[in-house]
Amino acid sequence: MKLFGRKNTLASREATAAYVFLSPWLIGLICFMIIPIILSLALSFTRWDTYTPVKWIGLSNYKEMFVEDRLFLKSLGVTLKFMAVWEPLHIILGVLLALLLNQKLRGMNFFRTLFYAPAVISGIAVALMWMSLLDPDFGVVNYILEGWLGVQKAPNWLRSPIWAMPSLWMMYTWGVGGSAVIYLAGLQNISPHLYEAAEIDGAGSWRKFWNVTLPLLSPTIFFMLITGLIGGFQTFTQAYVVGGSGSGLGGPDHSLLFYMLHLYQQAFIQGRMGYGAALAWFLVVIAVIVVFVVFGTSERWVYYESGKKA
Amino acid sequence: MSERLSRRSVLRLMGAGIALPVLAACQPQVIKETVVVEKEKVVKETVVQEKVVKETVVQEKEVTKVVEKSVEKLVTAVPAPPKSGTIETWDFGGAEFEFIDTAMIPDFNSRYPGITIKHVGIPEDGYGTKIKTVVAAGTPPDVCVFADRALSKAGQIMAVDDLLASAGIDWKTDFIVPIVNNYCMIDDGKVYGMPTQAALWAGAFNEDLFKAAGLEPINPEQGYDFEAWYKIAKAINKPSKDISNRVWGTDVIDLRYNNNVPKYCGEDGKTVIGNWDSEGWVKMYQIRVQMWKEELFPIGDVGTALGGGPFELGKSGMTQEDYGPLRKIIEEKGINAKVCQFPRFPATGEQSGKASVVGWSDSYYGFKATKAPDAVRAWLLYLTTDGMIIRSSLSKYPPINKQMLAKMNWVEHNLQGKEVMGLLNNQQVEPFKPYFDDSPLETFWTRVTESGQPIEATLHESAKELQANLDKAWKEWNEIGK
Amino acid sequence: MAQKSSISQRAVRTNQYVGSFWGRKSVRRIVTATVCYAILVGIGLLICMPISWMLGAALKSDKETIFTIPPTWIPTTSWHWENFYRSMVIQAYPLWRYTLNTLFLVGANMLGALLSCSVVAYPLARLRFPGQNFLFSVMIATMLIPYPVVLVPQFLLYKTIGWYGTYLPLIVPSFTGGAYLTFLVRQYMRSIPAELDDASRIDGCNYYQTFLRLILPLSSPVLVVVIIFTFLWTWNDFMGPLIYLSRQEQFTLAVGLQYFKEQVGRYLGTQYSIKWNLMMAATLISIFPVLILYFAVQEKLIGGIASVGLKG
Repeated sequence: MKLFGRKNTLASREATAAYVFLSPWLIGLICFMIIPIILSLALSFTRWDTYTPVKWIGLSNYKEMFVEDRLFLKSLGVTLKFMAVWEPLHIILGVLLALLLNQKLRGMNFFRTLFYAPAVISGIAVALMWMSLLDPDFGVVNYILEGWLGVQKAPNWLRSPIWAMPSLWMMYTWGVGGSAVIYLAGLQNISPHLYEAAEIDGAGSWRKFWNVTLPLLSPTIFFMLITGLIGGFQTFTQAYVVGGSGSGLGGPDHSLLFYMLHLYQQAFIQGRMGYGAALAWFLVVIAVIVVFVVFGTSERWVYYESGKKA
Repeated sequence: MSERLSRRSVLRLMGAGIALPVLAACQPQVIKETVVVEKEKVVKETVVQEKVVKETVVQEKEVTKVVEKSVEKLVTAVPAPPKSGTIETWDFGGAEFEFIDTAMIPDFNSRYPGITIKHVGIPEDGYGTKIKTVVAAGTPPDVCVFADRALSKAGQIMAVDDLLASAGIDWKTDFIVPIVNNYCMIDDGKVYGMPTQAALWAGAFNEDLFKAAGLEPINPEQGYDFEAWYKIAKAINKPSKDISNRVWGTDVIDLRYNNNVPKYCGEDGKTVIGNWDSEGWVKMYQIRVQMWKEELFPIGDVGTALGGGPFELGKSGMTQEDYGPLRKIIEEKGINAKVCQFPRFPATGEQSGKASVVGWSDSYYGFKATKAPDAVRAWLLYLTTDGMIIRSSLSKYPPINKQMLAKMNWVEHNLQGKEVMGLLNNQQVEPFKPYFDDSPLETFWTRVTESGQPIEATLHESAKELQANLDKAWKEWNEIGK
Repeated sequence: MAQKSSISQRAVRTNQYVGSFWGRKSVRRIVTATVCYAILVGIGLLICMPISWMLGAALKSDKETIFTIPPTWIPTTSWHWENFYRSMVIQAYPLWRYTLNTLFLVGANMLGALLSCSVVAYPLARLRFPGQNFLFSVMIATMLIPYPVVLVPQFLLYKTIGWYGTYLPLIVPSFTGGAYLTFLVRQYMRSIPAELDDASRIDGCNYYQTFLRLILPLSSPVLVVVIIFTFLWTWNDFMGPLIYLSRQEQFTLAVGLQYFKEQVGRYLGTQYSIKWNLMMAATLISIFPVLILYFAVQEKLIGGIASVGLKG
């Protein structure tokens, strides 16, 4: 290879081999990642309905987004509202569940397996399941509420704009075992010596948790937080199934119109590809900002045992 | 709230075209012989655009006389069958369109053995997107059902005026005009979609439940207002904890299809503010919300719980239904149901005499880019003539072609045929509106029911949203083809 | 070490005789255990409840309504196991066909992931070449890119090259080395002792042979994880098929279920009503293979996820 001709033949052959092995990924990267990303930016300045020629319209899409599109703000609000509750909830619940599973009792493996199971079930199945459970008139949940617990007027869940989001939180909580398992692995990675040392220093359970468990778990929490944030912005499948693809898209009074749903509707149902690209870019900007903020503050609360950044 | 809409109706109103107000022209004097002669003249000369619109009564008599002659002429006037060709026709597939494979294509092939029809089903969800995609790729199908009206505006669809005329059909006299206007045209006066039936989407009431509640049956020709509707529902409604004993006053009736003044988008199809949020609508919503609060409507998945719809099980006083399914309900479930109008606003203006119902039709569109235009024309023409007879006997809807109607003697052989035709012929013509996002109609309802917001204030807000959507749609519509 | 343990032993002995009844370690342990088990069982029930309800609904006959007050968990008449078969063969919504489609897609993806992840991970784990750190960081970065930004242009790209409406957009990307799984494989490969590499090189193998004969077989545990993950993701993938498949015959199970549900959710009049019990049966069938696979391999699966979480 001419490129590496200056170095000795062995190194250049190694490099060649490396790039040969890497080629599938590189091709995919360029074709399916880099080119689309650049195209996407250009696309956001055009109007293209896929059956008329592409037309350059400058900042019109962005203007429409920020000024005219009521649903844009609404969908952003819905997504942020969902994440504001779900992010802390799933971390707290996940850690608690992991602590529970970490107890040295018999049968833990069985429970661990059971709790993780919901995470492998497809979003559609979960959504369909919960839709029938949450039926306001005939679902099991309301039957328990009104029948056993004596609640007067049980909420209308997925039909009510106020209760639709809580329904979704419930749905996702059912699958929280997925993250619990990761926290569990993190917990098991904490060496018992540290706990022993803390006990000797006179630490009670709470102190042990606060000063040993949490700090050593923080890298895992950090990782889950980042992936959770990125994933949260892209919530789609369950909201789509619950809302329905026709007039129900976005739930009652658009209370479940997640950003991705809005984008999907604009780009694929109404065929406004340029506008869809603009929406996508805005989402990326927001996500990047949020992630940077979290990364930035991470130094203050994430503790790495090795003393340097992983 | 789940509106029991025929999903096709929604799509029809979305995908349909609506024309300018009908050319008026009405000359009442007609002499029998002249009519016959004129009809013959039309057939021979092939194209006569300006046509006198006759009064219905006289015409029907004329038609029966002329039928034999014009039907023959119909067949011979068709252009010579193309020797061969393959065309692809798209629709939603599934159970709904099975009849294309089982009935239509075999019959068509017996007349045109050289033409192959390939029937492709694309699910409704992504149908519009798929059509747009293939059009952009330059590989559209040859024929499809429910094409986006924008395609017609963009010049992708062939107009069928000439095709109809060549077969001796003058749609302004031979078809039920409002249906053609509302579902087959856009705002330029040409007919793009080939109509294939006259489906009626109207109200229906259960006569037995009415009698049991001491109510007079509704006269289909007369309208009734929302106050009356409320009273009826209240009289019939029987609350009960046990769902098997429960009887509801009425199913929810969607207001989008209320062919009535004041329309929610105004007479020009462009003005929401001042129309939808006018006093009449506020009053009407007040009644409706009251009905919702008193639980007179079956709401939610009741159909699944009961194992069937409330009306078809005799548990609801009134409903909205397509004529075809209504027939099945009457014949198979034994419900003593009669067709009637939707509840209407107080009658005003020249449209006040019109029936508050919706007549619609599947429309078939031929693409200009087709490689087998003659085959496409043959198929389209078949669908609106002999094919229409087959379709009608399967679906129970009357044919939109009045000559076919007479040929089948449809009125006599079909349940409540006279009332149905009366309603179909007496509809309004709707102002044209491009497809727009009308979800504010639903979100408004959710807000005043589930969220308990005040009606009038919320209506003004929602009207603003709807107006914005409509304006956007009009702006995009006018950009097409530029 | 000895000192520490004697201290803790003394602490234990002291605790046993000092303090109240509840202070005793044995009592505390029993109480803690009971509480823990109670919570665990409670959560376990919560998790099983929806699935068992679906099972009950799926076994009901057509006449029996699914929604009754009070809800009946178990069908009152007979248990209709044939509902599972029936739900698959409805003519208008052939779920059996969708399942076959899904299996095809899954198989293709598993092959693609197996080939590409191992191939791409190898140089990143074992070889030295210019730009290796940079490229590895790029790979990590791609894991963080939100999907929406590439969604629309990828769609347009596929449409332009004519892949829209085929299975290709759902298969080809798996042959290009997905970041998450490649990362997993790379981490594992790093743990293989480097001396083996040198040994094989001394034996005269070039890099390709080293890969094929040495590294690949040794990586089989992690490759099994790759295959399992790919199975799960492809089986459950909804958005991809939703966007790229245009004809009903091509649908996967996920999209087919949704299509099925849209018809069930709306009451369409007597001729089109579809039974809810069949709907539940179909959903259960879509879950079963995944669950079975999961229970069979959960050790490896959870281990794999955990390791990414730790190192990430």
